[in-house]
Amino acid sequence: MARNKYNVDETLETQFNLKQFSRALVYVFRYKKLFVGAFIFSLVSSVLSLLMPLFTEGAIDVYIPAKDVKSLIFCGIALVLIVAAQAACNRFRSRCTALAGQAIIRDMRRDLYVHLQDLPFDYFDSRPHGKILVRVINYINSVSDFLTNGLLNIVLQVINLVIIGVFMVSVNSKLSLMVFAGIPIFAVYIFIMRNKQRKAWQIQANKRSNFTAYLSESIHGERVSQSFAREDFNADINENLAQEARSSYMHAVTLNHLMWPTTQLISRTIYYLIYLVGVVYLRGTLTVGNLVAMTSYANRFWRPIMMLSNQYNQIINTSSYLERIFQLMDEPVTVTDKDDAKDLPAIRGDVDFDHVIFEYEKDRPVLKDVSFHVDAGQSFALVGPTGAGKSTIINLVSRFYNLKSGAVRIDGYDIADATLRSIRSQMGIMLQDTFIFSGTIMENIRYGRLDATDEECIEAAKRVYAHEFIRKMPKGYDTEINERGDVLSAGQRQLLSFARTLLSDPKILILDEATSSIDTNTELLVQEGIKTLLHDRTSFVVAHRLSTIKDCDKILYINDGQITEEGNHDQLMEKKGDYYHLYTSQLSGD
Amino acid sequence: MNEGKWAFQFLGKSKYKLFISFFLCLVVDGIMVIEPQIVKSIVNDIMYPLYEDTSVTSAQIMEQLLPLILAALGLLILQTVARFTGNIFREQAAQRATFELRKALYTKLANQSRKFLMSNKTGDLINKCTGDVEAITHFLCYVDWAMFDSGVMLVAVLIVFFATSWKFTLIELCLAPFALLCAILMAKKVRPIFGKARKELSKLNTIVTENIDGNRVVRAFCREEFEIRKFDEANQRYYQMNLDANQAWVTYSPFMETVGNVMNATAIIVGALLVISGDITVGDLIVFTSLSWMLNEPMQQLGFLINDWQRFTVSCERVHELYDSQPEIVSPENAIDSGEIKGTIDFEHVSLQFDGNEVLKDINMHIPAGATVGIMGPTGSGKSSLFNLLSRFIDPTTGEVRIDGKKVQKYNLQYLRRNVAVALQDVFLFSDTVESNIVYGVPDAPQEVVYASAIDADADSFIQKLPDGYDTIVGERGMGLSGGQKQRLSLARALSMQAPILILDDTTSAVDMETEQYIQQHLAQREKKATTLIVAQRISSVKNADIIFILENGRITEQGTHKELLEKKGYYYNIWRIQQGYATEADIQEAIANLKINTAAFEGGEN
Repeated sequence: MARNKYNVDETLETQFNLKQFSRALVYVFRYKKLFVGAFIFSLVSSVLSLLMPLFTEGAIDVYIPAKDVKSLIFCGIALVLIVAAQAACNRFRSRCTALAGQAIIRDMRRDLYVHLQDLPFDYFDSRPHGKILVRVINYINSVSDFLTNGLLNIVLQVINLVIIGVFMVSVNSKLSLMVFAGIPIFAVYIFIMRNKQRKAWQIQANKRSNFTAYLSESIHGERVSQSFAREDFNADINENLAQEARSSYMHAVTLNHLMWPTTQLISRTIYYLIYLVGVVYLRGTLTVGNLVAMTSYANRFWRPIMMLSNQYNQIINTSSYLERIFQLMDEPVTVTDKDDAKDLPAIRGDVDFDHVIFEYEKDRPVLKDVSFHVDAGQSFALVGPTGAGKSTIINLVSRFYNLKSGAVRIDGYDIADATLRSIRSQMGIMLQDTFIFSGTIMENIRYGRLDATDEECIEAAKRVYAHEFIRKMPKGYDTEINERGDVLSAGQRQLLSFARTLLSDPKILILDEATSSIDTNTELLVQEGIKTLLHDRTSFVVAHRLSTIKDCDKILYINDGQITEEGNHDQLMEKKGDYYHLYTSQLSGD
Repeated sequence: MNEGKWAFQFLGKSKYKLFISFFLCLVVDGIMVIEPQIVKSIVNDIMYPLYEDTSVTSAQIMEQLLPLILAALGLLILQTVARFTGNIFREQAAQRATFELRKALYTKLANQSRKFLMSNKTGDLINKCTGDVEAITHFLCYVDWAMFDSGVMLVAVLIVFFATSWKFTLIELCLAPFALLCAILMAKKVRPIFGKARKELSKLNTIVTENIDGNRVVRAFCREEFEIRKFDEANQRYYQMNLDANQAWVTYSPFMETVGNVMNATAIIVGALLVISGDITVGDLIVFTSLSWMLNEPMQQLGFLINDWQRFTVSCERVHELYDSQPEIVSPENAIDSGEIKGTIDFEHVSLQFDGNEVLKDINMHIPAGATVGIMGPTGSGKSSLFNLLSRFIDPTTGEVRIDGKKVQKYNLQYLRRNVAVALQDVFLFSDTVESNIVYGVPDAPQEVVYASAIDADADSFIQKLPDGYDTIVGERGMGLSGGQKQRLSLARALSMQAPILILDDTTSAVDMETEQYIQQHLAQREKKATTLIVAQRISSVKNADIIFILENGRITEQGTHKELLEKKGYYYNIWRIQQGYATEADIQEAIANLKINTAAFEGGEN
């Protein structure tokens, strides 16, 4: 499995192409009305600015010589009105682009987030979480300006360019050719720079992602870092990453800053060349007025190109982020509903594993032909050495992964054909990692069933004997806890997570080391408390404390991906095999 | 402005680069003013008089034309160099400040105490170190320069205008106070909105972070839709805040823009009227009209700059707050930071209160160097707090914790923690190679230490089976490894420290019995035996300890060896019975009764 860590750049196979932009344009088109609006306001504003010379020139040529004060004042008022109208247009344009731009990034961010909900565990397990985060938050924020103002400006400048170009050719085609002659030079420049710039910005995006990843992990793992007195060492790593981010940015931005001066030099050189060419070759065929006019067209022709060169920088920059965003959107969803998936009816609780072979990575089978049957309502324990495949079996019951071959059936239905929702919503899964969300304790319990009342949440807490410690918290059930914090001990978090699971009223209960950090007395109480609840519900238990599993209806001993022993406690004890060995080793020395 | 000043300190020596870039900006502006004069000279002095005059040869024209053009191009090249250098210097200065800021913030974050970590959300912290720092960068590399540029332009043009005609200048400027007023109003309005927008982004950040970190729980509870709803609300609020900011912008910016444009557009008219009234000459008028754009430009920029400035101050405030946060627990002056620690541990009348709760009450323990101590007790009875006191993650409310007879407060913090190796209850592994995770506390540890630690923790066997062995990269939080595997890595990590004090906080709860025995044997055989404190729920984990403490409700209620405690027939004995499978219905009823008494006592005490 290709895994990634904070200081490893993520590779990107896709080549630079316009596809990224055409995909981004899909979002733009959703708000085409706003774009059209912004476009029209911009156009009106440009037309208005064309009107201004009429009044200023009128003033200079006619009214000043004539000392016509009245007309001058009239001109003044007209100019003020035009300017005000322009400001109004710009205001509306700004509003339109803001509405569109913010909506686009909102939508794009949402799509990214929604896609995250479908991605397999592998995706999250194989890279630092900060690298996923930076895409959803920072990169998306970085593309909004280009997708609105950037695009709009490109369209406007291109229109500008075409109009002036056509006009220029109609005035003097020969000289126009000279003006255009700068374009190939400019194109060669772009061609040379294109890949360099692109690569530089890709590297920069990577370094930014690395930096964020390390930062995020450092915050999450702060307790560990402090315990191991790693602050200084980590600060050095952070410094290196910040340094890499800094130098990669400097490299990329230096290339960007070359763009404008280069374009300007080309443009001005051409401007002056027109005079030279005019003087050397065109005297007699062209009036001086025409020549001067031509230079001013050249100026006006190159101004949009210079603007576009800015936009070009933005394109390169933005594309390095868009690539990453779409790369995440393209990340395949491996565990998903089949097209003809059906809802699993209310689960009774028969579970069958039928010759299940499973591997996380190719040719490294974790489960090698596992078959067993659990009757509805039975409690079922999985024991065996760590890494033998116990958690894997449990993960397969709720279809967190796809099988390589074989089938898992619930009540006779192959769960591969059922909707994920219908499977998981009927199961209560208590994982090894008791992740707690930031929020109040009440909110965390309610995560198990969103429409549960406060009383029901408290009832669930009482059942697992979490009520007592919660009551002792400063604000009881309203105490704020956070996802990383050590407000709660590991055992308390397990109890909370237990309450959360119970609240969901599962038909099948899965407890994966769910009580490992809970003290034995409390565990006993919890077991007692949920006994009535577990009555006629199937439950799977993975545990190492034998007191936890002894009373289960059926016990499987798993070793190296295979079932080596199967039976209840007494049967397995009689067998004097692995289980017996395990059990007695726990008691030995007394 | 104070916030701004604060940010500027991070420039360090780069502030000279910033000054140079400001100076270069003057060069660029100067050439921007001079070049059109050359063009004017070419047109008016050469082209118009000579071009159509057939008596003048082209060569003669060229003679006059070329030097001017070369001069212009020379100036342009100079301008290009100045512009480019200025830009790069500014970027470098801003990056330097960003770099220093990031370094400083990281160090701040890395040394924070428990309380800070509990009261700050990850998303907010990340946001401050990324987005807010970037807003500061943007200000340093662009906004400050743009302000300077606009300011210079404004001052320069005003000097020329005033020198030429104060009347004209005053008439032109009569609208300026209005623009200024708009600017102030906008600044006032937009600032709190930016503040809220940053907060909303932090919330969004937190939601996404938790969703990614908790992806397994989300799937397990089928809460995808709920998570999306939660996200949608925050996403929509952030969207709305940005639109609100835009609303403030579109409310005021048109006025500022209009004022600038009116100045520019009517310069000619006002000038003309003044010419007619005889106040100024036509020459003056030409000066005004040719320079009025310089008056307009800063006015156009005003709105943007005010906007960016507010954004900057808001981010500065947020970052500054983080920067100023002081850890509560720091190394004392003249701290002990060398010498060998033997590992004697004393708790003397230690009490700890937290959030008004008594977590530990009058704890007394003496642990000789090299001893193995077991600690058991109900969930939340304060076991982990003992260790937090020992590594000084918290300080006791009263009483003393001593190592080798010296108060832990006397030690250098890092030195202390390097000597107290902890395998934490919550196994947090970093997304790095297995080996790097093992030597986390001693990054320069030799290979033998890596292998020896892994072997003693019984991790070697499964590491060998991983795709890339010790070079396999594990997921953040050790995702992808089983609970037992994670615990063993965490143990190996603690062992590699080779510290005189070793704390195993529920480290073997997810490993099977045989593995646990193997680990215990290896720990006992280690060359220099550490003082070992084992917290566990399983009797098997602690029964071989030299002494076992039972902690209930923050008090030590029983202590002794396995045998002594069994004879005592108290808490330990009960647990032992249950774990042996001897629990009877009566035991359960008794346990429930006990629990109720405890709770009742507590509730009674509260009232």
